[in-house]
Amino acid sequence: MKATLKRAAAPTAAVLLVLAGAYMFRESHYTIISLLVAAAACVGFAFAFERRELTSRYAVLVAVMTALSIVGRFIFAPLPAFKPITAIVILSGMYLTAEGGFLTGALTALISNMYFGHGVWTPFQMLAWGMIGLMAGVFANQLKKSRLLLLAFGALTGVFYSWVMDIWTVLWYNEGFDLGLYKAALITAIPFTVTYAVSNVIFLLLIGGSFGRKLGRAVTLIER
Amino acid sequence: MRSFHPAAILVFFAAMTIPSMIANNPVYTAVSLIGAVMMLLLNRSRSGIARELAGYFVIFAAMSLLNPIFVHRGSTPLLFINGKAVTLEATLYGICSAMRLVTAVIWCRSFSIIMTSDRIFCLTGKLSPKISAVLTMTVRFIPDMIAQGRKISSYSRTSGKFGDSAYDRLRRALSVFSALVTWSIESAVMTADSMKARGFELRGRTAYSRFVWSAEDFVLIALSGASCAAAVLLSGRFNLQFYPSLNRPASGTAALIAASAAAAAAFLFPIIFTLIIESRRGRRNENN
Repeated sequence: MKATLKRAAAPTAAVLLVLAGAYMFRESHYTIISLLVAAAACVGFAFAFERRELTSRYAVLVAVMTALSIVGRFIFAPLPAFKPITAIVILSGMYLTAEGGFLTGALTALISNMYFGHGVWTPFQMLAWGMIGLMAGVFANQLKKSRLLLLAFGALTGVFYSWVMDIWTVLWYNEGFDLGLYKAALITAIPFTVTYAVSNVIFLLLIGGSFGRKLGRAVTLIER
Repeated sequence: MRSFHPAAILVFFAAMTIPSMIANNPVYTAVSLIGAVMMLLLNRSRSGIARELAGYFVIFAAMSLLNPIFVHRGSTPLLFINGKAVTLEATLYGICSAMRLVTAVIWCRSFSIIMTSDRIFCLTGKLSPKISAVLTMTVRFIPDMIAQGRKISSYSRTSGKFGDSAYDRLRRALSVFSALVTWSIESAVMTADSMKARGFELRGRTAYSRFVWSAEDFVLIALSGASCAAAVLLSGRFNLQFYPSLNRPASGTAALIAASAAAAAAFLFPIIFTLIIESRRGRRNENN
């Protein structure tokens, strides 16, 4: 647990930086500043990751998890918001440590947007999915023990993702952050928020158990 | 655009997109929009382009209608709907802000056409070779997984284990996914061991595509940076104020026109520079 917290320190600091930056620059050019800070958070994480000893087996497993979630995004492309990405990112965080979770989430956004279209929203998406993986890694032990907790966590992260992306919608449309517009965005996005949460629960329910066991075995294999 | 170093391309597009989002001046946005459309036409394949441009126009129209319908600020009412005023100011603001949005979207579109995966790896490889290694592997795994998924799926269809009901189709999809996961993880561990045997954990990996810095790249970065800085610094002088009534900025009309013209001119420099270099390099390649 202590080691996990230590590893999570750098990305957590990056996120605090985002929040501080957003507060400091709330008067002017909010969109640009928050965008740059979100990008900086991802870059900061990359530097933290660079210091880590990277074995080929760990790297390949993270790549497999990322590829699986991207293929999932392809398969479910016709259904808006109904995606297995978050569920796979959560599993990745649980079994491949907090860093692996962050990396899976952030890289899924970066690579799948090569096909679905990059935009100014890419850093935000990277940060939102990365944070979900990171949190799953921090609470890995608790999530592995209780199935119910895992499902609740899945539902919560669905809401979290939707709300973070709505902050971005407001910044993008309006020049500054406007609480009224944010509330309006939250209300219009309710179908999406519900779909995110429900799809996470469904995917975790369907694949959580067997997928988790397979990943757990693979991790045992890595450490041998 | 493609002959420049990926870092120069990134700076160029950032410098084109960011001021387009900040600057609240229709002249400036229009110049940026023309530049964005020109870049798109130069870099995109011809098929389906009319449809795409029509799509942007629909977004523009929808976004510009949104503001006067929902925002009732402004002092010049045009008409009343349900007792609420649709004002001239809100209409103009809607048009300007929709134009800004569409411009930024078109810039991003060109960016994602030009920034192919090997260019992104070049950038991430400088920043973090380890993450770049994971990225490259991921992109390699995707077609592998799709091919293997097809194989497993066609087997499970012919196995006769699953019927046609919705429940059976879901069960089949899950069993295919489960087999795919097992296969991916197993082959991943094998790949990893093979990579280790070939020296993955050693230092000094090389890249598939090599991008070399040239003097023009540095000039492009300098020009783009200067153009972006000019727009951000001038934006205080040339931004229009829409509410409560359309107003000139405090600096006066002459200063407004001068600042708009200066910003628009500065904006065009990096674009013109890339066009000149590209055409020159293109001709040189033809001569060879």
